[in-house]
Amino acid sequence: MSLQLTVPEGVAPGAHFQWRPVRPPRGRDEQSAAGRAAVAAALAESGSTDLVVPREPDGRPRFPPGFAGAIAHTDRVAVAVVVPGAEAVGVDIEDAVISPRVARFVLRDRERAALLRPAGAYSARDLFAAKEAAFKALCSLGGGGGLGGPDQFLFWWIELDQTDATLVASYRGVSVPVWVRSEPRLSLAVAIRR
Amino acid sequence: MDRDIFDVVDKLFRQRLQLPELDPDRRLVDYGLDSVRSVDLIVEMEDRFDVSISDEQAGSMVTLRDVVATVTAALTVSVGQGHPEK
Repeated sequence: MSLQLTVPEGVAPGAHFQWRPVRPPRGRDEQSAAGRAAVAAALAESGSTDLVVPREPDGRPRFPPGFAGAIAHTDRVAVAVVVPGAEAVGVDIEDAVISPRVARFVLRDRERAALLRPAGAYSARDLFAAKEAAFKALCSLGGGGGLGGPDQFLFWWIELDQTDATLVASYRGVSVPVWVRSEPRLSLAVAIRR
Repeated sequence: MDRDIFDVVDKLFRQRLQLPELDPDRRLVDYGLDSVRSVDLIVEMEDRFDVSISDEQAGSMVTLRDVVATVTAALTVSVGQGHPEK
């Protein structure tokens, strides 16, 4: 598995991506450290002098004003994205195997029929990551996540549609484009609200 | 809290999170429960207990104790639905 993915085509040039490996033994502490390092690098590259991202009480990262961003990690790699001037950003990387049962739970019939391979262009893991990234970008609408957060809305409630070459995620009338990059063992999804 | 259900749920979550023990009142996200494993555990519990867990229930499960309570409630509903004449 490559350490990092190429940034998906079409993502705004103002988006700053930074990747950091998770060091052994790759537990929660190491994953968090890799995330913090990636965030600090992405913020510095974006021009922010504030390179620390504290956590809100609910666990969400609080980026400096004017530097919207997001963090994601697997147990091997962390990625941070900062988009100066954006309203909100979401990112997700997934290396997990998404079983058909989990795909049926998370994806609507219409989404599976239109977006999943072979009819569509995406794997279940791609679409899972897309919903997760969109969820982070839409969290300011009030969101939980499922099994671990407040119950305003759950990431699988987000709807995905294909518009031209871009996925569009929406929830309660608010839409956000989602760019997806897929490799055999890893999917990266980025959602940016302007 | 139903002890039998707790034992099954506790074992299942410990296995998935690869932890020797879990505080039933600690937030599961604090143990590193991510979205993939969250959904995977929801469908696993649905299959194992033959119940249906609603989105609202899934969203309200913050701790292991919440999970046990939800499964217990879902089992009660399931039994009730299975014997409507009662």
